[in-house]
Amino acid sequence: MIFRGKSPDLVYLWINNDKVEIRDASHLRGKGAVETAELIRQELKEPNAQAAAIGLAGENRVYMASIEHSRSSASRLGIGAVMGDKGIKAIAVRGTKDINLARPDEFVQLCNEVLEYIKFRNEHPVANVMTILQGLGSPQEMLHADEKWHTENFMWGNARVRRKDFWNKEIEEKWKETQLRVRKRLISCYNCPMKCAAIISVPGISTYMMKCFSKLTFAMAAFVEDLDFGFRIAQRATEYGVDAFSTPQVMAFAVELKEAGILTDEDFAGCPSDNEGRFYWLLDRIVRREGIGDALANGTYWAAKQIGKGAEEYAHNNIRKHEQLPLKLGMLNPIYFLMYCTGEKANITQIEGQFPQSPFMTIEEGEEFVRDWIQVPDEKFKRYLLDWEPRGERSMPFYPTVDMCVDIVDWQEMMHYIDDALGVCAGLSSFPLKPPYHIHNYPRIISAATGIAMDEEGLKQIYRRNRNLLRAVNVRRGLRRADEKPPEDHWKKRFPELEEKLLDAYYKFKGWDNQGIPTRESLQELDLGYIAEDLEQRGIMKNERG
Amino acid sequence: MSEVKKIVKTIKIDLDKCNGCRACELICSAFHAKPKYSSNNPARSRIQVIHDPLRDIYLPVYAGEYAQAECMGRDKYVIDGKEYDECDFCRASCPSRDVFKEPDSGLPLKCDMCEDDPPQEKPLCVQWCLNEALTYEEREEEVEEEVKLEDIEIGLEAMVDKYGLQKIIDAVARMSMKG
Repeated sequence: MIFRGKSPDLVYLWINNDKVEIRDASHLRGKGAVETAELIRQELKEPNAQAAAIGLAGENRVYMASIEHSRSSASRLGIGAVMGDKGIKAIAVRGTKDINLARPDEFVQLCNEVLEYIKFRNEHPVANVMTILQGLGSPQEMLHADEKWHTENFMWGNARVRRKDFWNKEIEEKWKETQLRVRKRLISCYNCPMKCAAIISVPGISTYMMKCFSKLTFAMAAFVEDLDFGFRIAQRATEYGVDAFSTPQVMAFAVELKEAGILTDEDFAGCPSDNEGRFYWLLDRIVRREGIGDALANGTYWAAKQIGKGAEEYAHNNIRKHEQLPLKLGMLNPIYFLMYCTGEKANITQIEGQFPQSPFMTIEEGEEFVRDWIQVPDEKFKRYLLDWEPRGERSMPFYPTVDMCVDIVDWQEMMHYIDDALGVCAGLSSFPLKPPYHIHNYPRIISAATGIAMDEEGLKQIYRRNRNLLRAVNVRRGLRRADEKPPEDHWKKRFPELEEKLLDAYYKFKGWDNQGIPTRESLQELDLGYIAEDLEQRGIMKNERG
Repeated sequence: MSEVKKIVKTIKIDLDKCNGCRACELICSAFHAKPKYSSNNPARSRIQVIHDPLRDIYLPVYAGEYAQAECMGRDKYVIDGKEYDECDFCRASCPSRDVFKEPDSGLPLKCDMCEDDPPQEKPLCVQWCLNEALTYEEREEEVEEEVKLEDIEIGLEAMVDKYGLQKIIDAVARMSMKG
């Protein structure tokens, strides 16, 4: 579905089987995203319709605005603002037609294999890696209340402060009690055996659904040690429709600017002085673009430019103008360096996944891991892992070698691109270690479902085409090598020479020039000659034929 | 009348364990597709998870008998503080709602416990429910052997109940004389 142009009035789209209707949404202006979906279901008298909606943030073109749907949201890169700019409040869908399969028996057999593997993986968590990396699905934040790892390893405030001794018995008990009290039920997405999400009902405010880490992003950015606040403010943020990664950091950035005297008492006139009240106040200003909220609504990068007076120094946790996870680490990880720099979605969780984040502590642990590592596209990845050591000659940042890093990144991003093309959740595929979907069974699954002849090489070719198309789109928008940087203070210890080599090798592997622009030759090999023509006409690619 | 043994097939539904994944709906519709598994469409499923996440309602219901007309009253049940429509629990394919009807023809759907050839060990919905919200139980019951009446006898019995046997005999006699 592609939306061109804009609607003069606020509308929503109603798709019922083959019928598509644009309906007035003026009565939904200013309504919450979850609230809107519910109101649409009621007015259509279609309790089973699904609706994706924006809240006030999208309507007001806040750069961190999300599109919310049920327990999920399309949060990153300000896509809710695009919907708001087009005047589309929501898209509601109900379909009762069949989904036909080309080779049913084969398909169901493959589904059963996947299901059996999921059950196996749920019973056999990956050993010798941290808890959050052991299982399948989205990080199981709704199930677990133990947040020692997040609270002590992720930064508090404006991605600044690490609190290594934060977690203790008292907090553990209190947070567990809070989570169990507000969590009404763990829930699944359609036809999924995982239970990544939950219904959250905090007394006094309307019910919503949540998954993953947003219960803590606001609380940690605000320096609030009460999980109840996390669930409460996330409810408001969900109704407003804002990204729970970026938004808390924008607010923490504002607080820092105030403390530094760059923002003034006047900017904060009427703002409560406590951490909780201040965050609610800032959130309300941002989504309404009121006062200082108008600049902040553009995210830390643009807000800093507007505010000036040295505010740029405080917008320190961005890639490509987008706020990132609040992580600050010691020594450069070359694999992660490449992924942070080149990931087209400017978000580490949407490119990482298949390869362990760090080497195993002993040879035995490594051997145990590779023993049933069926997902590797090539046996060489097992060697890369087994030879990788925590310290010494074969350790980071020079091992895995530059070429190995490129291979590893290519595999990881390939799986994300395939998932995105198929509409399969990354939680059962590209995101966790040892997932049930991988490069070896995907071609058979696609073929049995659709009847398209497909093998591994064919699927890889589709990935390469997608990868280059997306790169070409961003190149047209001005993306160049200078933009491919991790957040400047992500690692304390950097290796500029190695980093240049990594980027050079990655570009070369992809068939791009040293600015990260696909070459005519590599585009033609992918049957994308017309993209080369386009880039040439725009003066982005040199006319090599003279 | 003599006693006979009868196998009663039961699916136990635990609402607290349902996570709303609706794999039961998916597999039901796929299993009953022709050819088998050739399509999936929860609108064709003979089990429906009545769900309303914001009210924390997850209620798997099976398709039962066809009902020509809807009920006159609609009661509400409040269970553990949650309000359910009486209809939520009802198995009927009925004019008051869209569930348990083939989406294109409107013909009623009815759960057949996957009594298929070859027979399934358990209904497919139970096999695919990983949360054990649906569990299958068979139990034996002693029931009185029923003497099955022909359709005509059923009709006559109703007439006898209403008018008395003598009136019916007289009426039949008159009709046969006119013959």
